[in-house]
Amino acid sequence: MRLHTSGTGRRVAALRTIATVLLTVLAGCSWQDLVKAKLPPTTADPEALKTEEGAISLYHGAIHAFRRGFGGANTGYVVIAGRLSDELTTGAYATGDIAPMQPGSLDEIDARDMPEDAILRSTTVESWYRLMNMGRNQAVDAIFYLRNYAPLQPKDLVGHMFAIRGLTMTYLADFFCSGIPLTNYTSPGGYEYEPGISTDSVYKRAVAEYDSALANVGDSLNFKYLAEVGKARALLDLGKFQEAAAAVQDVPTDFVYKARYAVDYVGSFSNNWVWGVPTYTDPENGFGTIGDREGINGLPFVSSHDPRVPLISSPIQSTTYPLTNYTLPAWMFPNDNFWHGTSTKPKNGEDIVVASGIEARLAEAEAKANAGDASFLTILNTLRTSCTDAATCPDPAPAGTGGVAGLPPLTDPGDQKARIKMVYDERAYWTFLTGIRQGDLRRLVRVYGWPQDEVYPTGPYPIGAAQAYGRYTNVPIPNTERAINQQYKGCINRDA
Amino acid sequence: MWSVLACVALSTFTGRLARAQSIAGVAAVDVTPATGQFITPAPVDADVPVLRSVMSVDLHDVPLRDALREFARQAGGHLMYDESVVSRAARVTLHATRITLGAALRQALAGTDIKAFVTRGGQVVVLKRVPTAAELQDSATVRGRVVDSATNAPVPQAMVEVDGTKQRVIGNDEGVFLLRDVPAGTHVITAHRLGYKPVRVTVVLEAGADTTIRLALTKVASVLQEVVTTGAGERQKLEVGNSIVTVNADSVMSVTPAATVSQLLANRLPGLLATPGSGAVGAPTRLRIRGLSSIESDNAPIIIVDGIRISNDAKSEVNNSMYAGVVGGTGANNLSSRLDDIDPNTIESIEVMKGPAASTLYGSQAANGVIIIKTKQGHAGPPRWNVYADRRELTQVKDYDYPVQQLGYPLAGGAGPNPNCGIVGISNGSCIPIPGKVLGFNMLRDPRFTPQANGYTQSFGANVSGGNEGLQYFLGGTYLDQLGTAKLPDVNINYIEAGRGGQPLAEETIRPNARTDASATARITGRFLGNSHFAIGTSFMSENQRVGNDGMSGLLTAPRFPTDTSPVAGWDNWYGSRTESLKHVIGDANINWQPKWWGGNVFSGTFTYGWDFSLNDDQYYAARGSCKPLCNGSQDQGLKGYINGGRRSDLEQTLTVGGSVNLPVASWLETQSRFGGNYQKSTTYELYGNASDLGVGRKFYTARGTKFISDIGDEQALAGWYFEEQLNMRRNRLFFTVGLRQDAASSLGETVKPIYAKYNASWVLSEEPFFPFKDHISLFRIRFATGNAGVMPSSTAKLRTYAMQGNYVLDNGSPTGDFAELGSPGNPGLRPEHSREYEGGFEMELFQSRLSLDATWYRKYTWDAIDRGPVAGSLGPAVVRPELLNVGDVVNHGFELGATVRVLDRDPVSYSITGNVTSRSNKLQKIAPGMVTFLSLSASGDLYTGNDSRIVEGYPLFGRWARPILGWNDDDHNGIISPNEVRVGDSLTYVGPTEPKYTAYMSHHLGFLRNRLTVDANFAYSNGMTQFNQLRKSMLSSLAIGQGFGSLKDQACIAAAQQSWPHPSTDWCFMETVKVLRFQDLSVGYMLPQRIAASVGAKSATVRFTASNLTHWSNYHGMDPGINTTPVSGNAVVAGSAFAAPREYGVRVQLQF
Repeated sequence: MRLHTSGTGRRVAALRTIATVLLTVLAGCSWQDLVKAKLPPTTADPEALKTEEGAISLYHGAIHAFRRGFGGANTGYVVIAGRLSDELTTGAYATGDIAPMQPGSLDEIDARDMPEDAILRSTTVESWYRLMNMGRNQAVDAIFYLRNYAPLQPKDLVGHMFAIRGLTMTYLADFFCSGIPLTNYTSPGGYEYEPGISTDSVYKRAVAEYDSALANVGDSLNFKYLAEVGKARALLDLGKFQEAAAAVQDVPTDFVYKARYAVDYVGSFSNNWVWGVPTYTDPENGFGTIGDREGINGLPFVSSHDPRVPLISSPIQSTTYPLTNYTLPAWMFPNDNFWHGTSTKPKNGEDIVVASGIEARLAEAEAKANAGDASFLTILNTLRTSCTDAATCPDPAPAGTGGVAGLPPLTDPGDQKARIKMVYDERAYWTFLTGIRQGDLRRLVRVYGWPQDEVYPTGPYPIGAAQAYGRYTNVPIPNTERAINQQYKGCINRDA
Repeated sequence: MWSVLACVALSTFTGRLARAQSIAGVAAVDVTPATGQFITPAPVDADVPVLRSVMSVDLHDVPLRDALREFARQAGGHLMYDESVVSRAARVTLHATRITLGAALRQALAGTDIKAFVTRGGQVVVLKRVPTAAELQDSATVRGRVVDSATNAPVPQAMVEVDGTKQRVIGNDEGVFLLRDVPAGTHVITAHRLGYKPVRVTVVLEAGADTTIRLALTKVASVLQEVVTTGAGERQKLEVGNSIVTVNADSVMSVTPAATVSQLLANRLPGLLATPGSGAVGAPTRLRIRGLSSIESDNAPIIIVDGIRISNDAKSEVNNSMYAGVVGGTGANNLSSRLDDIDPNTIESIEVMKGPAASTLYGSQAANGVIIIKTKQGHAGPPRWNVYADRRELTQVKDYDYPVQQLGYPLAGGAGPNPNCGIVGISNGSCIPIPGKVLGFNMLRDPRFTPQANGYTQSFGANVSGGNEGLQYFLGGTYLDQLGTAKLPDVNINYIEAGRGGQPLAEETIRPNARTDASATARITGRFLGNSHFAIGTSFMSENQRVGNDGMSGLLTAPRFPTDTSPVAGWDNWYGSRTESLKHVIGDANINWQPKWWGGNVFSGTFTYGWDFSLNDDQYYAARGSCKPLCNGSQDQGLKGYINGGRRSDLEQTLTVGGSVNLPVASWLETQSRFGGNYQKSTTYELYGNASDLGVGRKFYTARGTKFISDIGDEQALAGWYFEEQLNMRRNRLFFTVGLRQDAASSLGETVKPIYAKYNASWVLSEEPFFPFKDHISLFRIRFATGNAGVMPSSTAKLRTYAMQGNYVLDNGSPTGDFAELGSPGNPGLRPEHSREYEGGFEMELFQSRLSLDATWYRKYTWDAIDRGPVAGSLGPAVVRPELLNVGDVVNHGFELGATVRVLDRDPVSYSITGNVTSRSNKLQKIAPGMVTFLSLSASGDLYTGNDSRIVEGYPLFGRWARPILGWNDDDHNGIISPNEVRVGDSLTYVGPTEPKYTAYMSHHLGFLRNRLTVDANFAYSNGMTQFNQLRKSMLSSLAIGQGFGSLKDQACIAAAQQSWPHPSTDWCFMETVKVLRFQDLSVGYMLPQRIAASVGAKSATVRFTASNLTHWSNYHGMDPGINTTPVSGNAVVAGSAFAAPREYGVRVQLQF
């Protein structure tokens, strides 16, 4: 017997056995099985989304986010875009307000004074930007789960989701500078940040989403018309007027698609905040009112007494409105010593029109005006005079007023630019405070090439000392995007 | 040197080996000089295969011949020897399991002049060395044995040297040594061994003589011989390359009795910071080791009790406002601490692993260190009883720099005296103080208004231990009763009792802070299958405590007159009670299996399973009509009844399976491999709710008003495996260890399986023969360690979460649909925080161990630090900080020095000083762009004005920031600084960290009468912590600044704090960087004479008088600077107006039977 083989051999053999057993045990165990754990009761199980109800809840959630970003939450897109355009303007924050604008306030947007190198801290802008993207991205999850786990649901829900994606992209392109990151979810699970793309590119992506919507709306005419109106809007933004008109040729004039709001629906987040514009007292956002010839170029939304922009004014007497007996001091609104709300959105639960047959007709009128076809006037006048029955008048005809009777027919100004201006003024009144006006004004600059100081409010800014309107027709993407999304490098172009 | 001896031996033995055979049984070999067979043979120390054969021997005083035969028998060969060589050799005693042939021969032949060699052919031969004639003439031989002076047992591996020469030798495992060729004459022979006091013996050596001596060493405590716990099991401290500090609980408790484990740890250990939440009894303490390195995750160390992880996480109990006011601020996060449930009287020791270098093998939850608690075990022998009782009186400190209230009066013609005449009111003309009428008084010193009273802590308990060699037991129990120092002010009591028609208030209402805690512990240990062991233990704790509704916060912020008779604001909800009731059980079972394979100590396996379960009931209850007849409009809860409660259960389960294999590789190298797996599961569940309009005697389910019930909870599971390899080199002097651990966890994505690695080295230089400073340095070890560990993210961070909401408005207008609202996009790639730590240091004992030093330097680098960060808006979530991200790098570094000096060590008097000094700092090295740098978010970012701490790249985590006050000027010359007369900087400026940069602790111990009478005095020092002085701000806010009252600086301070936009405000003045020296303990103990102890049947009796928190010296202008910053959820601190730590005077009696 050799000394070095006896004990060592036994040891090695035994250790080999132990190691083999251990490895076998380890190989037989799945670590992931071993460390499975229950989710907290407060966390919804992701597996629950893999059901019809889960898919529907995602679908609802995407729409909910869109609604909040559009007109809800603490001032959604309708209000903020209204500030940038001539629809809404700002009141003073304090008596004799001569202090610099509070950084990040909506005053900066109202005054079109938003250089990109300044830090845009507006949490209001940030909020609706996030909500719009939340709706856009959650729609991806909704489409995935609807297709995979809700086979018995109507197929048009998928089309609706694509349409929502198209709308969110359109609003983003209307409002923000060229250079918009359309970061996408990959469903289920991951995401990847995207770099900014040009305004035109965003509109083109929106058109593609609308086309996907049209391919998935099934029998739903409501979603079909929504996608067609949205597509037309995006095509107009791309300067494709005739294609836009063609897109909406099937849309009936009485079509309306509204964002639903309700007072008692998941708290204030789901409220329509357009009603609260005049009294929204957050120092960041200041007080607001309906614009009246704001900055020289603004339309006389108040003084024209156009029935399409019905007003309520301070002090409010009606008990219908939640603003009862709320009086604001005159110094807040140096233009006319009054604040004005719109009775088209009188309550915080009121719906807001997103797309309508009127917009379809207006798109057709714009196409004709651009083609030099005088029949655009027929379209405009038909809209102005045809609706006399309160029951059938499309929103935003003021309920209970007997329609828009009393609007005189328009006459052809003859001049091509004046025709376009007429079409856009009509759009402004018909679609007042529905998130259309900012896109329209910007289109006049971006597509038609009109100087921005002929289109947007300009000249002295009424609030604050020695302030003047700035030159911007759009808003830079919120600063946090650049800070977090390493793909994003800022605006490509601050021009219209 | 050895080759020369071999040659000598060869010449000596030529021709004597007639019956030479191979010990390995290969072949008989004739050894003759002519063959040259023995030319340059290998010594027995050489690493040759034949000598690595392992055997077990049990020889007691047998002749060398017999020993050699036994060796040969076990090795399977035969012995080759010359009878004349072995016949007169010394006898052999050798007990060893798994010893190599080489080692066995070396030990058997130690102290003889016989050597073993291995020939080129692999045969082992035993030869005797014959001294040369010259040697016989000029030198002598010293042989002998090193033994323990107390037991006479051999001291193995002792170093014996001849002073003044380079001659030294290491004795064998039987203590036997042999020194040859020592020059004749007088010499001093010294013996050293780690754990013993060196001994020096003078010998006179005659040339050619063979002198035998006995060297008796006296044992001394050596920190390096302590057994410490590592992630892979227990090791001697000298083997471990990182700093692990140990607290012997009995030694602390016998001097300064602690009511909680936190008190036991406070200040005593370098690197460990224990921040009490308040001076209220039962208030939790926040523990931090080596500072802060996590932003979002918990910085607390994990707690292991007898191998079982216990839950000590920060909790968000529904009733966490329980300590509001009493604790300070908005309430501490924990009502009480699970760590502090454990009875300190049952603890044997507490070890603290300070960081990833030490805690690597604990894996993904251990980057902030590990606190390992070992409870007491029984010992073989008759029952030993230990009975103790103590009582301490608690008093509050009332003397502060600033009076607690200062009052002004309004302009003449006003509506009467008004205490709310502050600087803003003065500056805007709404009130003007009247000179000479401005008053100030300290409410804390006024018996009518003070919310402070004397409290107490008392406890009594007993334990017993005993057993036999096969089974031991320990049983113990303690009852703790505490009454806090909070008290309903007399003016309130009088007001309420008068309003109730003289009906007295309940004691619970008058003294709202109290706690009782009963605990029992049992542990049984034993032996089975020879060397194998088992241990079963359990502890049960039952706790009840109550905390007042309100506290000093109201007192400090509500101005009043000293003549007031109205109740002190802040105690308005006197009719309600807040209580906590807890049941806590810890159980563990451990088996250590050591099969008798290959001698019995080659392989061992361990299995440990245990659980930690606690059930916690928190409740706020105001019975219907409890406020009558004093109910006012804001006391609806007291009028109609209200209850708010939560029942929470926490279960931690631990399962560990491991094994180790020891393999001697060579005479100079032994390896130990350890491997195993660990499984951890934490489950938390809480049901909470509230109900109003209760009806008489009714509570939740029978309430008539609103009812709300909900549940929260969490579950996390972690599994990991580890492997550790240790090389023991140079016979227990040099150790290298490498280790590896890999984890998977429920809170990590499926592809995320972090790996942690460690490397460390330990070298006991003073045990090396070449160490040159043995005369002065009896111990010197250097060590180095590096390792990494992690901190886990929350359990849902990896998931894309949707909150399910209801009342979605369908297109038809009906609010009936459900909808999913995105919470977080989910981060499946989220990794645990990783911290890699480098530490190096040394232990040194000098001047016959009179001075001991333990120094450590460390640097910890944390990457992938987790913060709750924003995602870009293009992704969508509306929540500002929805997602956990790996976004930051944090660096911690510091230095820790511990020292003990035995100044005087004589019979009648002894005096020693023990202390430590710690420096710590951390810096956020970098953080990803876009991360929010404030803990409390402000919409306007840099318009931040609060006093919360902040996260800024390049600065310490949670440091305090404020806009500086640039100056002030009384422009209108009215003697008052109004807000617009103060210039405040635009940018926030760093003020300081919220943890002290330096802490120190010094303990003086004086012993008289052979330590029968002892006096101990402990001092604690800290420097560099920045506090927010809420007290001063509160007082200045209500300060009437008139002629000669209030400096312009004070006015500027409060004016700056009260500015409003667009003028930035600042709390600059109220942030103070604090240094404080605290007289923490004074303790006098006396062991009563034996006859007195015997009179009650005890073996010994000790009585000890203690005083704690006697006083402090500080530059701080508020209350106790050690309390004023209150730990809250996560890692932040808030400024609070808390009860300070009370001063304590007490006595403890301890009897042993």
